[in-house]
Amino acid sequence: MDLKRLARERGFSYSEFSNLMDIFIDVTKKDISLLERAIQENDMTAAGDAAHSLKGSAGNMGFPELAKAAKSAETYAKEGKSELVKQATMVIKEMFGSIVSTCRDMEST
Amino acid sequence: MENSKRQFTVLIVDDNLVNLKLLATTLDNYGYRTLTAIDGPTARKIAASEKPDLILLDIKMPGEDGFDVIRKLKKNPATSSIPVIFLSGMIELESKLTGFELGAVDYITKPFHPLEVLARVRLHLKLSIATNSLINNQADKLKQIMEAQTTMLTTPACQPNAKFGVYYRALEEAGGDFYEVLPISDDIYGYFVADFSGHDIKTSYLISSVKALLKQNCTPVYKPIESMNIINEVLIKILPEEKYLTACYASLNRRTRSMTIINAGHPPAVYQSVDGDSRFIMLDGDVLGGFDSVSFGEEEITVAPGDRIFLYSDGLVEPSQGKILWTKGSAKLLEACDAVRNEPIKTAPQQIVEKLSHDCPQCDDDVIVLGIEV
Repeated sequence: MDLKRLARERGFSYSEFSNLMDIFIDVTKKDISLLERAIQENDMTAAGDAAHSLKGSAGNMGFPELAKAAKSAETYAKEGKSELVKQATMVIKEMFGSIVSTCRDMEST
Repeated sequence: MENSKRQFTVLIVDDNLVNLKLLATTLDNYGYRTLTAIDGPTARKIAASEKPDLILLDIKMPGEDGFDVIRKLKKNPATSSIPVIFLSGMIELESKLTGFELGAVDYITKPFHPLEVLARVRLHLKLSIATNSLINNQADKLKQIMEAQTTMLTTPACQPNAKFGVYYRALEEAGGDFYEVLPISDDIYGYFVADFSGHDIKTSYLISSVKALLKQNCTPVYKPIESMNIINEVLIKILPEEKYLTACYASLNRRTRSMTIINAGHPPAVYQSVDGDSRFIMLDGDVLGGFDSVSFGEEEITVAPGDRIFLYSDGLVEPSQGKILWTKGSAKLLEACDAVRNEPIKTAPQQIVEKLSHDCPQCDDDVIVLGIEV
């Protein structure tokens, strides 16, 4: 994952994209927390809303795989399949962790 | 000089902070002033106070969703003309059509590329500028007309496919009422009845101008409400102070069997279904040419062959001698419409006037009754 290239492709300087990444990371952490809490409480409406939000921000930032995983979680939530929502959330967390690591690595270099 | 420095303002509305910041950064980078809102009520408040040139509006938001927001924006005269582009992950055709039906100019599906949004913002601002320029050009042309043209009245014989009948009586020194019948396509006709405020020598010139505007703007490209809004914007620029007109415009599509009624401060149209009683189509609306920001009454009704609609001027039910009040006059009008139900549409308007004239044998105002049959 090359964040500098992603920034360029989307018409941003790296500094601007880095600021956007900070917001994206904050918002996505909150969405994942909401998703996990919704799974615990078996509230599939709240889970679907959190996954919808995550899908939008990931897709618009240029992370299509993460957006796809969030879309799966949203679809499963709409269908009331809580176990599948849980599995999709694990995938989301793993992908998001990788994005955060890449971002932190870039910042430290 | 001023135009070259003009900064366009875009209001971005989305409950997702990432999307807000992403779009604001892109548009800021390309010289736009951006305003942001994370919910519908805040967006409407900002739109009314800041009058942005364009609004990017998310559909799925907690509380007031994007559809609710655009409905309220379009109802508010201060925000009704601001172009709105929807942003949404909803990709169903029905959702898109709903957006366009509610007045959106475009629809961008998420995930979006920021530069695609930028391109569409540019395109719609260009269109908006072009429309405003068109309005100014039309106003300039009309201002150059030095002599009033002879007001030609459209008769049923001129437009046999329009299926209408008309009664028109203009009294000396009181010529403020007029009507027009507009062929918009083979199956679509527009019918317009209006009354200018005040009676003076400029009126005939102004009537010619309004008729020219009707011909220019009542086309298949514009919805009836859009035609009236454009005409209003031109009239604002050409009408003298204190001059305005009340009007009722009916656009009838005989192919889809639908009729849209637009009311601009005019007495309500009478709708007579082929197998039912006559009733008024009550719509509140601002007058034409009176205000920059207007809200006209609008209703679309499904019609059937044989249904009739009557448009008329206030002289029919509210003669200025004041002997007949609207409430009484209106009840009599419905009775008169029902009484002539079996008359051909060409003669029905005259019969209506004859029935009502028993109550007011010495009426002192212009009278128009325009009857339309589906």
